[in-house]
Amino acid sequence: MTMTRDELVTKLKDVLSKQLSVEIDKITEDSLIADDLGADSLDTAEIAMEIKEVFGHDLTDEEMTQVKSVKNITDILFKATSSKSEASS
Amino acid sequence: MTVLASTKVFILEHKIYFNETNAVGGVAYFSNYVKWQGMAREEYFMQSVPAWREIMSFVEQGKLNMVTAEEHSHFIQHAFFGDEIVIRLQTANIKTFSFDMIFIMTNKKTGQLLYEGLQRLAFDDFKGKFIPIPGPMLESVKDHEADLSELKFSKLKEYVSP
Repeated sequence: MTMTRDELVTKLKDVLSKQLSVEIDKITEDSLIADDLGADSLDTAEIAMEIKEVFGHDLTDEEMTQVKSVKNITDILFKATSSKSEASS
Repeated sequence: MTVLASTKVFILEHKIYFNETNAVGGVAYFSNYVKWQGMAREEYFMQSVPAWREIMSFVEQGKLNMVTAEEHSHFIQHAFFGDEIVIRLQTANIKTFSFDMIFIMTNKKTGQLLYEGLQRLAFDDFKGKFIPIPGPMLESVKDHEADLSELKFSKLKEYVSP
């Protein structure tokens, strides 16, 4: 079953909160991963692994370059998970 | 809190020598605590990771790089020349490419808590790409994983995941 965008955002915030030790209510879609949430390159790599685990999507090198904000990740994942759902239906 | 609950705790004892103190009353100089972190870390690898020589050979061949990504120190009480300290090492925050080492140092004679420290270790391929914690090391790292709920009143809780 496809996740709604809101469900995806909630799940993503949970991942980011745990990976970056940031309180979940301090994370918004506009939050910048590095500047606002304090992620360094190691954190970003760990987040990508956790995203693969939770959402089943392996972020490509190109997608990794686009990841600046929570919204960027949400858009990528929503597009990826929606495409998978369409393909299987 | 001197030991967090975990399956295993690695312990190293060390006597403080004159060259590890400063000019003020034989007090252990602050930078030695990080040095002792390093000593405990390397002893842990040599004693608790059976394949450590194989892992080191990959490092020497430039295939595996172990990076100290972060280090934190919280000094609590002085230690002095001649004191014997007990360094307890446990792991935490085990992820794909990195894990933390927690160091709790106490006075062996009095049991007094002297210092809490943390290192975050990561692994890469020397070319900027992170690689998973080496398999032979991961098993031991998991065995020494600490129960972080016991860090409730420690300053280290700022640096480790809940």
